[in-house]
Amino acid sequence: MKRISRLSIACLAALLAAVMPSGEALGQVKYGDLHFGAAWQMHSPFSGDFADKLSGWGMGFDVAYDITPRWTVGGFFNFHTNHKYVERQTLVIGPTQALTTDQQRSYYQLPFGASAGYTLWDNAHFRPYVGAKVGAMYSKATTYYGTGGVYDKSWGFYVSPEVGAVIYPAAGKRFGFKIAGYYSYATNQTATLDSSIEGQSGAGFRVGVVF
Amino acid sequence: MKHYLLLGLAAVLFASCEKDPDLDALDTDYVVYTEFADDADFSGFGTYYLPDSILEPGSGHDATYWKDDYAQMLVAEVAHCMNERGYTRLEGETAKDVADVGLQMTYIAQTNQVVTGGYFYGWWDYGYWGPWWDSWYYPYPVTYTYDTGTLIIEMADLARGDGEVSGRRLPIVWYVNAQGYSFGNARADIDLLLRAVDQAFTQSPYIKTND
Repeated sequence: MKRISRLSIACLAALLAAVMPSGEALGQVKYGDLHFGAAWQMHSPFSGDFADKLSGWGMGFDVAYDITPRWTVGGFFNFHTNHKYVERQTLVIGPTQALTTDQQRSYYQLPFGASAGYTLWDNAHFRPYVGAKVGAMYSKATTYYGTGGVYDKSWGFYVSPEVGAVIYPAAGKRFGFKIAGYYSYATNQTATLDSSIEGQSGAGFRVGVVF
Repeated sequence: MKHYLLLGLAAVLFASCEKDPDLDALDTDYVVYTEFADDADFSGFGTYYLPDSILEPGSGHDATYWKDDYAQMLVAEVAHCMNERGYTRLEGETAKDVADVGLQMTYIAQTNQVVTGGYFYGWWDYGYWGPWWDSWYYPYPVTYTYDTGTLIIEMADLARGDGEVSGRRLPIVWYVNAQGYSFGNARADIDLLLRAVDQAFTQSPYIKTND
C-alpha cells in the first residue's frame, strides 16, 4: 500500500512536469501575496491495522506567502479521525490473562507546522504545484469496548509531501479551488489494549478553496 | 488583522472536531476477562464446592445474597461447566472442608450517572429551525444514567489455604470479571450473564482435570 501511494504521487508529479511549458509563465503571482486555504480531507492510515478505514472526517487549513513567483512558504494545520470496528475475539493480553470483547477503534491526529510549495506552472487559471509540510503531530488512539475504553496520547515529528493544483475560475482574482494528494508520516507511538502503533503513515487528498 | 484573527479562531474551533465512532456498533455481550495463577495445577484438582447463592455487595460491609431462580440458573451454569471439565461438585455441610477448590460468585449492579457540560448534538437536524442555526446547546447541565452489571467468579485453592502460602489467606487461582450493560429486562440480562459464564470457561482451557 505504501509503495502504491508513493508510486501514484511520483506518477502525478511526472505528469504535471510533462505538461508544464518550458518558459516562465508566472505573471499571475505577485510577490508578497498572502493566501489562505481551507479544505475537506479524505485520509487513510496504512501503517498497522489499528484504524485503517478510509474516512472523510477531517479538514486542513493553511496559509501561504509568495516569496518568489514560484516559491511559497507558510504554515498549516489539519485534523482527521479514522475508525475501525473489530469483531468480538479473545485477546491474550498477558501470560495469564485473556479478554474477550469487540472493539471500536478511533485514531485522531492533528499535525501542524511549516509548509513550502513550488509552483510548476501558472497560466492564470491552473496552477499545479508540489510541496511539503513539516512539523509536529498530536495523536490520540482510543479503543472503545464494553462500557468504557482506553486511550493513549502521543506527540511526534510529522512530514508530508504533497502534489496538487489551484484552479482559478476568474483570472487575476484571489478566489480559487484547490485539490491535492499527499502522503504523510509521523513518528507518533501509541498503545491501547492489544494494539500498538509505532510510526503512523497514511495518504489522502484534499479538496477546498483558497483566497 | 481582525479578519485574520477570526479566521484563525475558526480554524482552531474546527480542529477540536474529533469525530466519535459509532458505539452502537459494539455488541451487547459482556466483556469477559480471565486471569489465572501461573503456579496453579488445575489438573490436580478433582472436587469443588459452589454455594447456591450469589453475593451482592452493598455499601460498607453490608451484603446480601441473590438466591432466586435467575441466580440458580447462573450457579447451575457454572456447575455445568465445571462438571464438563471433569470436576466433581461436593455438596453438604462438610463439603467445603474437603473440596479441592471453592468457587464464589459475586454480582455488582451499578447505576452510572453522567452530567454533560451543557452541550449535546441532539437528534433534530441543525437546519430544522432555519439555516442560520448550526448547532444546539443547553444552558444547563444534561444528566443521564446507564446501568451496568459485573459478574465476578473466583476460584480459591482450598488445599493451600492453611498456612502453606501466606498465613491463612486463600489463594485465588482463577479470576473472572464479566462486565456489560444491564438492560432492565431480567431474562435478557440473564442470557447475557449465562453467555459470559460460558465464555469465561471457553477462554480458560487450562481449567480441566486429568480425568
